[in-house]
Amino acid sequence: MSKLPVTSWNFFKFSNPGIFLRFIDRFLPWLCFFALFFLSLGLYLSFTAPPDYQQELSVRIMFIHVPFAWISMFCYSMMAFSGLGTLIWRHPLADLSLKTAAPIGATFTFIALLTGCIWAKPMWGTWWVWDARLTSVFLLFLMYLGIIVLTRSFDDPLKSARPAAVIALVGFIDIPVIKFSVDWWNTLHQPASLFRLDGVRIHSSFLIPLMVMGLGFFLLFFSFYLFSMRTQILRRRIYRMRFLAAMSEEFP
Amino acid sequence: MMSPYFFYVLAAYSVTGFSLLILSIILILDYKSCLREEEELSQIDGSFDHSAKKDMM
Repeated sequence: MSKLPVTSWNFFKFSNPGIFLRFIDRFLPWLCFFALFFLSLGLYLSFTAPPDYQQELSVRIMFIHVPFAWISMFCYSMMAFSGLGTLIWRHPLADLSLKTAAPIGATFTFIALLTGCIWAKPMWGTWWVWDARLTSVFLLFLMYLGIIVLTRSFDDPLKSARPAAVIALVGFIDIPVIKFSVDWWNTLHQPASLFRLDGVRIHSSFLIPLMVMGLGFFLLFFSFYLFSMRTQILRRRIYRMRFLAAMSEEFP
Repeated sequence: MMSPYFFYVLAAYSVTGFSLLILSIILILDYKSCLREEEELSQIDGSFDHSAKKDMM
């Protein structure tokens, strides 16, 4: 009879909030440290990168705009996965993860949109166009806002878990639309330069700062996420304590 | 001579920094208010067992 190895890393052990909080306490300072380190290095590399032959100095906006666009899609994918965790595995932290990621993802998407507008003005001559890429990212921002509103409109936080999970999963259809919008339609937005079948189309003098900034912003995102998860776990405990206090008054 | 793109770059980095700063402040204030609320609840002389709160969700 086969046995599961006792020492194997078990994802479900983190379903215990106490263990998850200890995990956060241990890893969060390191995560913040590495995020600040890579962001400082990335900023230095960004401002010492040579000007582009067409875009000149404005190419430096890419080092912030592109990582935020990546993270906005990654965060929503994470929320959809958390939605699956709520609906299928009923993981107790999946609902908290979805609710925690939504405001952070909304902020990152907002920054991606805003820096995109600022970059578009000198390059395209306009702040905004309703092309497929921009519209689908704007739709993603609206979905983030919708999920935030939904999760905060219930008195009982547990009641919003399933509807939020369903909406996150339905909205996930927007992620491949964002990714492939520049291939499927004629857009003013340029096509992908990094994740292409025929290889990377960016010179190493821009690629290295972009990757370092990307790593720094991903680490920063996870720092925000874990910090906020801790708050959400505390908030859920407070809700439970209030509930038990009310019950003990009702049925002494 | 200053590049005409300088102010666009400056605006993009400033907006990013400012937004991240606001997000950090909101997250920290949220955490602090939670801690304060938990502290207040613990001080209430309730008839339920506070020692069991560690693994409570």
